[in-house]
Amino acid sequence: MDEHVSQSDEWIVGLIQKGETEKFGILMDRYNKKLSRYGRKFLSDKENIEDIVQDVFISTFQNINNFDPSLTFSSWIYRIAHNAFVNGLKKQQKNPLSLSNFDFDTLVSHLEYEDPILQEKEYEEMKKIVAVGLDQLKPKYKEVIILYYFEEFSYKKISDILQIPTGTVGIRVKRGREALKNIYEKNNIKTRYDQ
Amino acid sequence: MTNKNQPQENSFKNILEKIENNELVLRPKIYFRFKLLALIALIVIITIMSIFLSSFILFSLDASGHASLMSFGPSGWQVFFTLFPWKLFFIEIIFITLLEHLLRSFRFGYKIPVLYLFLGVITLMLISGVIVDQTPLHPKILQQADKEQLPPPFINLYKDVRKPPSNESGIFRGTIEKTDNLSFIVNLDNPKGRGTTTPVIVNLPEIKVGGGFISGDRVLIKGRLEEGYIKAIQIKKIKPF
Repeated sequence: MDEHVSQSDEWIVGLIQKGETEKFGILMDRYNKKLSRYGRKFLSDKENIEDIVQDVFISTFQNINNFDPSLTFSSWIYRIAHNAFVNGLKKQQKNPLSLSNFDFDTLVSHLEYEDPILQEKEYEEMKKIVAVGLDQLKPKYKEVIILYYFEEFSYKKISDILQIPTGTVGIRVKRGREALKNIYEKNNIKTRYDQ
Repeated sequence: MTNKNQPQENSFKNILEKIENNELVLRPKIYFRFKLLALIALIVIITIMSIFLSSFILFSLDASGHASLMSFGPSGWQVFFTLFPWKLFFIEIIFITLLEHLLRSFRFGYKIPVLYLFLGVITLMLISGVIVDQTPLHPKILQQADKEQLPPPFINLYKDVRKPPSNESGIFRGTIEKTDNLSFIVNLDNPKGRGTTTPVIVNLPEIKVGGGFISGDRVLIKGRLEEGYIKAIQIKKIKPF
């Protein structure tokens, strides 16, 4: 598979669409660990995660002719995976609507930019601290924090994965970050920047 | 490590084997094109229905003269809200919500905040409704309804346009038969639909009526029914049917 390292996902998708279906193995290789790691943020049962990842790959393969070339393949497969994991979570939870409740954040536009200075200063720090407080966050903040800090997607890509406006992604990342800091303050845990 | 990942590796091998053996196949492009076409067709149908409904609401308010009720002050507003086609209005809201939901399937749709998209769809439907209301579409359909040539539920919808406010509301609608300085003789509209009832005299002691009213004018009268006369408080010319 080494000869495919330089080939983009979208290029490989193009080949699969043209009939080179065996190339799908490359995409499975590339996304297997990423999707399993993403799934672990939603679900704890390893077997369940593996089953869902397998279903995601099957669904991705079957629907690959529906891939929208205006998106990146990673946004597209994460969109499929996100839906699958949320459905998996719904099956586990007593309140299946907890992730899809109506959200006022999506009502109006929010001016939120990915500030490169703030990003540099806080990104690595936040990445370390989010892992601990993540489970205490509301699902709508949790999902954007995971995609932004763990999967390292831009606001634009997260917007395509969650199908919400880019400004809403920004405001959720900001609020999620604030909520995490509050969780830390409540638990009397100091971050490097507080010291 | 190898053992740990073994089940997953097997499942991937399994997927690749299924692909190789054609047990797992790509859905053809045509399948997605049809799906997209079906979605577009649904959006177009709902848009047409929504524009038709919004233009009909505007037409019915205009043709029945109910829109003029608001110029009669608080009591006029009260009658206006009583006679407002709320059912149709709520159906229109359902159409708009559905349309907004369907548009969110597209990238441009989910990139726009929910409220803005919703307001955009409402504005678009309203503007389209106003434009359609300017065309002879609804008057022509009303004529078909008068000739009993419309299928249900359209026939009932259009017949309701002709129904005047009830006498108890203190608002009367009709056509002037004769005028003088102190009174009009008005043929009040039939509460059951098309046609008029026995002519009544409308006394105008409390209002000044200029020369603006002539025989044949359709009017909306706010007043009190007293011993076979209507004592008018306000009177307003409305659009003929």
